[in-house]
Amino acid sequence: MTAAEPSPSALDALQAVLPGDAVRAGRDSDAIAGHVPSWVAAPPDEASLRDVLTWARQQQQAVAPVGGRTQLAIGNPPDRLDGIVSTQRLSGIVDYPAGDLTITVRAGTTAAEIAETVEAEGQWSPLDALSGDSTVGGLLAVGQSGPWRPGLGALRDQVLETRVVHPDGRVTRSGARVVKNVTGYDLNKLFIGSLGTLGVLTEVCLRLRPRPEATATLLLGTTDALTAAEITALLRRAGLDPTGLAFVSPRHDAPVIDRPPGVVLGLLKLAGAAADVAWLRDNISTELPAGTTWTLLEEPEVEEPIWQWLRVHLRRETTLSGRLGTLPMQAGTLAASLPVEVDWVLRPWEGVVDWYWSGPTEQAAEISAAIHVAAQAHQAGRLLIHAPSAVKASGDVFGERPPGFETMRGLRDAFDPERVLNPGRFLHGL
Amino acid sequence: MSFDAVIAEIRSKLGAEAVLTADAELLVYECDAVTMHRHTPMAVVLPNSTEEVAVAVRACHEQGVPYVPRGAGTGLSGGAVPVEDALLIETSRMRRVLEIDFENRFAIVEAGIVNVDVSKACASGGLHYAPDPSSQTVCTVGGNVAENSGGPHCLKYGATTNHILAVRVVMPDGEVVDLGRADQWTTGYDLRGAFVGSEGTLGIATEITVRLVPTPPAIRTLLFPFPELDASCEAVGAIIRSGIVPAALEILDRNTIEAVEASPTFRAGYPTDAAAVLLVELDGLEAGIEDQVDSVTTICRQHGALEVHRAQTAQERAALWRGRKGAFGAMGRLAPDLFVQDVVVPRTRLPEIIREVVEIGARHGLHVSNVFHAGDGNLHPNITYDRRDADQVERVRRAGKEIIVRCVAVGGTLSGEHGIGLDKAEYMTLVFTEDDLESMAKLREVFNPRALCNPGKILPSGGGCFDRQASRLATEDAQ
Ligand SMILES: Cc1cc2nc3c(=O)[nH]c(=O)nc-3n(C[C@H](O)[C@H](O)[C@H](O)COP(=O)(O)OP(=O)(O)OC[C@H]3O[C@@H](n4cnc5c(N)ncnc54)[C@H](O)[C@@H]3O)c2cc1C
Repeated sequence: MTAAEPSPSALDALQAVLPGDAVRAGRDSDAIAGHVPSWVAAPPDEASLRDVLTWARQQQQAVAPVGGRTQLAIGNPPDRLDGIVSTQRLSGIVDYPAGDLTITVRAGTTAAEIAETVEAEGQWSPLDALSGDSTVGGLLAVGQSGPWRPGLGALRDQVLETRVVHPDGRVTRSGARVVKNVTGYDLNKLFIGSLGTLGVLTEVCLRLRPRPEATATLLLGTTDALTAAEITALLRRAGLDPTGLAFVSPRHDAPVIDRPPGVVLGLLKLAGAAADVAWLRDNISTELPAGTTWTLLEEPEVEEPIWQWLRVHLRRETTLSGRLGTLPMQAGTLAASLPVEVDWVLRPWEGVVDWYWSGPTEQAAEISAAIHVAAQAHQAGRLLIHAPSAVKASGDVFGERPPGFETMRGLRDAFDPERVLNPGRFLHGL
Repeated sequence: MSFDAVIAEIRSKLGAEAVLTADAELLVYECDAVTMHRHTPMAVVLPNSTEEVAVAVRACHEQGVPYVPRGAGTGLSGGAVPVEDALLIETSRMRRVLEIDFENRFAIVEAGIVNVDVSKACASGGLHYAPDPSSQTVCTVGGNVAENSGGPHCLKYGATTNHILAVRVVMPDGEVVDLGRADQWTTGYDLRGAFVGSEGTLGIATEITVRLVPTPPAIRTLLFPFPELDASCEAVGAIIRSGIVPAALEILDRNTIEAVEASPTFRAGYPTDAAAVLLVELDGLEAGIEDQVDSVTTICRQHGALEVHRAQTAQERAALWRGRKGAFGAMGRLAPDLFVQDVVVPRTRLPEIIREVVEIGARHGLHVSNVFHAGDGNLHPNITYDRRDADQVERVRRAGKEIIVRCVAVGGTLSGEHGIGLDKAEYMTLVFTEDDLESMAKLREVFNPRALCNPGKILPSGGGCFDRQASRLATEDAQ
């Protein structure tokens, strides 16, 4: 990959815009998909972030906003990359009225810091199930929910207010710090999952929930994805809804004691009133089909590490990895139809299948094509996350153009006509 | 722009009876549930399918004729009322359930279906459609999508936007586009999310994929009378803080209780000597529900609840809800006109705001009744008045505005569920800057560049944003 032309003049010019320590030259370790930026800015506040973006627009610089750098694999390789704007210094809690069950934080605040803050008040962060070092801004830009979505709700549904800096220098707010609001258009939804292509998030208000009285995790052992699907169907029909459910294909390094080879590991999270959790636990364990083993984890010290492991496992880097999305009751057959050498994590409640493959680069195109075929057979949405650059470059990592694409392009034209933000990284043609 | 040409075109394709033009027929369409704003449409189109909606929209688009989508007309912000001569496109003939997928928990319905009919259609599978506006026996799912409607149970289950998986939309140029997917996979921008709550200004929803949720096996409905309104608000804060997530937490004040109990239709058996009643619904599994009932009861008693009424049968539960859901209707009997305010504050600010609302009403010599979604901080101060009395109308207007200003001052906003429509567009600058509004205008322009689809709503006129559309339209007309 060619690095961006080192441009000392751009760096000098930017140093005139920003306080001294807020900007430096790009390094190899700053690269995104092999593109090394010529400058990296970490503005100390929203106003200077705005100055950087307006400057970048005037100078026709291509900018990638970054947070914790935990999810930069998501997206197409950039068309151009001149600079990086990091939200890392825009961090911290702005407002936390615990009695309202809302928290307003700057975009660079990490999921771990939010979780720690709200847990001290007996509350749960909606980012809790995601990786701790990710920033809230980055998580929202990518827009993926964690493995407790069945219980916590989708991440998009927990965002009450956003502040965004646009390349034209406008700093705008949408929503409000209240839990119910229909005042004007819901622009929050547009920014969530937009991969920073409409503006840079600087502040977010999230809805929280009370920490449940009790939680437990059932570790399940089952034979294959189809049985996992069967378990899912049984639970759904019986109204035994979990807070989270994930099945992990046999090749994994989960910290579980009893790990016979060839067994699919299931993690089933329960949360709620103590009596409810006990009842669910008992009923689920009796509903399980013959041949399914289960172990109960009740103490936080044993429960927490296994979910922590899953969070890391979900975003591990392999030669190829990606995510597929389909209807809940098709997700099991989708996972079962993947090539045998592909590992997966099946979250049937959400219809999500994350997949991973490691092997020689030359074979990657073939595996990727096989996954594509499986996805099409299930009308699944697809996202390619890790891949050798040739494979990534051979198509759009986001799959086919969705309906409404012209409207999406219109929005991109309206908010970022010069394509300052992440050019090329989101859907092709946006 | 030629209405005649558009009407002739639509009639030639959909049949003469698909367009109403007689004055007598049009009269019922001159307003929605806000009687303050009136404008009779030029004609009403009654399409029978997505394709027929597209025919009508294309005809309008070609002739540059403005049109307004309409469901049941129960909106409380004037959204379905034209601000200028326009056609109405009403979804009342599109009420079919197209598909129910019990296993994957979704249903596809036509936009004109009445809210409660969705839950009825899927009840046999133990599922229901959660958003339950008090108007649910009349209002349409299309209208709910447009307003992002709430309801008592959105405290636990979320508002309409959390339950819409996909929307088939006839865009303002007549194209049919599917926004979102039943499996919630999103590629590109979340256009479905932006469409929900757009108040009929981004296109017409024709088919809607809704999420269905399991009907909880255990439901407990409790009523707590309080000697003070304040104390009931404090109790709500304490319940929320305790970690319990009730399905609903609704307060009715003394004036509302009196109105309900005086109504032969909505009488619910609420104690008329209480200053307020708190209606609590808990749902979930049988296992833990009694513990929650006990906790809530303890909290309410600590805050001065006089007693607890507990619904023992389905009929008793229905009675307790009848008073709540019929509250607006009951107030309607008290005076010729009813002004329903809808504002929202951070829930910890509820007690102080309620005191201010009472004070504002008293200062203007108005009869204010409060019935509200307390758990969400969503207030509905309702003012009964007589529109023939100009002085009274002016006082209602002033009080309404003061309430909004006070809510905004404590971090609240203009509307929790009824929308902005044309009723509150002028207040948008109280909570948003020109720059904020410009982003909203950009969104609208991308979907609706000629501003033919429900013009004059949401964004304030006179401001930069609205002028932009107006001037664009003027340029196009001149060309
Ligand atoms: C007694 C009473 C109680 C109420 N209780 C509640 C409550 O608890 N919670 C709540 O949120 N609201 C409540 N409302 C307000 C109202 O019922 C809701 O806003 C409802 O969603 C409106 O639905 P409708 O079908 O009547 O829409 P209409 O009033 O016909 O239209 C409302 C808006 O939606 C647009 N629209 C309608 N159909 C479509 C479509 N298919 N595509 C695009 N746009 C469309 C219209 O242009 C308009 O802007 C209440 C109203 C009354 C009269």
